[in-house]
Amino acid sequence: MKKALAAVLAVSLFAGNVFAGKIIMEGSTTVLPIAQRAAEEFMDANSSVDITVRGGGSGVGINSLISGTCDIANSSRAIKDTEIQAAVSKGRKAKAFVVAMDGIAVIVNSQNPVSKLSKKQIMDIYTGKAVNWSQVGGNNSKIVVVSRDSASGTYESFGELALNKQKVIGSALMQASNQAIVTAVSKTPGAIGYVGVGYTGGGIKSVAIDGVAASKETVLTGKYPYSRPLFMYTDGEPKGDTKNFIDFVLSADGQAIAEEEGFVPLK
Amino acid sequence: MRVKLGTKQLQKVVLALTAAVFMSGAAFAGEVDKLASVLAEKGVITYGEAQRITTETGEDIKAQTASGTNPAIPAWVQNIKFSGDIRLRFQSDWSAGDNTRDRERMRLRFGFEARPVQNVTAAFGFATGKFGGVDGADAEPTSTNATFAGFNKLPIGIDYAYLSYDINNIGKISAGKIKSGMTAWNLKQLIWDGDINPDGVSFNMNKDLGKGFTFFGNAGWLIINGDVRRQAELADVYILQPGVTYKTGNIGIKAALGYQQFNTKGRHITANNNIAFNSATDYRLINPAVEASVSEVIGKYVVKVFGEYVKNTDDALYKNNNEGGLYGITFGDGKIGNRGDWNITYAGRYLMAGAVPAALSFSDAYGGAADVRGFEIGINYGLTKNTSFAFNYLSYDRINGAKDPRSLAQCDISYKF
Repeated sequence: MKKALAAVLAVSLFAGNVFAGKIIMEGSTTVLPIAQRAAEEFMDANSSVDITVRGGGSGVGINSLISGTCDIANSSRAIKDTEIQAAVSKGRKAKAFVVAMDGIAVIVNSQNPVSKLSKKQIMDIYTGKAVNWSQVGGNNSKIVVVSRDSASGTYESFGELALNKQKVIGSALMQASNQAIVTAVSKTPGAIGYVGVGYTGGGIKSVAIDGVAASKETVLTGKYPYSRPLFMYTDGEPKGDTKNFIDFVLSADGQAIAEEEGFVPLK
Repeated sequence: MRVKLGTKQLQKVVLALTAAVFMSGAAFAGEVDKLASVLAEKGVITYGEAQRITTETGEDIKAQTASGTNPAIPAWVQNIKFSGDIRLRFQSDWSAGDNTRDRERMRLRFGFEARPVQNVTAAFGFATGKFGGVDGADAEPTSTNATFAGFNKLPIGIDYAYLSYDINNIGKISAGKIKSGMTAWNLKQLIWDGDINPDGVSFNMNKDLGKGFTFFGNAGWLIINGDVRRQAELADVYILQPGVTYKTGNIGIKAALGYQQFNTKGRHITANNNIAFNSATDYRLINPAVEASVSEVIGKYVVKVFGEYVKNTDDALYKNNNEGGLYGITFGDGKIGNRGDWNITYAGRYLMAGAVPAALSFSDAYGGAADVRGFEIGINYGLTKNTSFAFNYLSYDRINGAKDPRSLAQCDISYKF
């Protein structure tokens, strides 16, 4: 009897692991909006699958993948050599999937004669070292710095891509959405702001950075300075529901989600 | 005209590109990059697909190389990691009277780390030093400097050599001539000079406790003299150091409470080097240490404050003269990784006569001697990604012994590879 109970218990546990269809995703807060929306839509279409999505940052997600506590690590950077070594030492092999491109366009008022800036000039403007447009090749007028609020993934991305993780100057006008940035810049002649590439609006223009204009093509080719691939990492080739989910993220529907969340889709 | 590919066609393109690259034996990701770019420009694949191919292929090659399964590179090459550094130093020493000494010195260290089988690491490294002991043995394990003299070739010795086994989800155990810091978190060399790579066994573990807390534990059994007569007791050291790290937002804290027991009383100690273990007494050290950092205090800069204390509770010989401590602050970049990165550190420290075994401590501070008190200032500046400049000034004097102030200044240029 005991053996029979043990067998039933073992089968139940085995079945619980294999057939419950549970996927745990953890990591980058930049990738989080894509992961959450994709998870919701995937679960709507696959009611037997339960997906848990957690933030915490790219490093947290990759460490969880290494320690085997998540199935997919979301990351806004490539895995580091030390992390690869740590994974190998645990018998794991990080398999990368590029799920979208992150690109941020810098915009100014359409009346502003400045049409190009260098990465250093952008850093100087957003950290308060350059306060007048004449310091960066423009007219003698005050620079009005406009930024996304600090809860935004775009704010985080801009800090990493453009500011070397320095903080935006405290006097910046913080806005809650891309549209609010566009509105503020279009109504303020001396304003400068940043939005996801492809986000357009009247009264603004995007400036070239180090001579490269912001476009989907320059982001996808990696030529635009403020661009980077966004990753989902799995332990080896994904299987079962995890594979199906990755396939969904890379499908036309999944890529549409990425675009709606302000990223540049791969298709 | 742009040709759209289906998933299977895209997979074939990826396979063909990957196979072409691997079979060429050349190196690889760059070739895929070029091919994918050409295909994208000709409209065979989209720019997004080209980005996926190049980035994912690069990531695959990194993972394959790390796991020793890259077919284009011999397995033994993939399983070996090489690293090291070269440091050129100008050093001036001042002491009482007219005893000024200038020295032009250098340090070369290099080492290999191999992974013969899963979970096992074998590591060994070499370093310059001072080899004036019996049969050319190391005379100064607290230093890896070699001073230029008469165009002599500089001697190189085995700096470390050990085997490690990673026990899944438990910790890592290592044995051999292990690296400094593997037996305990060594904040600022209060007890152990950082150049000492001790002989013995260490165990290290980390456990995520959640909510920003991580537990870490270090333990060690170190052999002071591995050549004793039968039935004689081994001179050895026990080390146990549990600790915790905490990180929330831009604040990080690391704290540990260590216990180190030097079993030297009445035991045979070989003394062919500058470390003066004392066979008249044991040392039982209680050693708390803490470091707190706040990042982005001003711009990207980090401020760190740190402190460490040591008390020898086996005070048969050194009653009321058995404590040591240090405190300090660092401001600037968290690490010197790129051109223009900088930081500055101030630290004060004292070691009473019976706090730790003589000359075991930081050798630049009065030769690592006990019964000293003083301060040190260090400035680091990044010249390139792997090259840095450092200036250190240290000033120390006796606490109870006859006053004999000594100062030391060092200018270093270091290159890591």
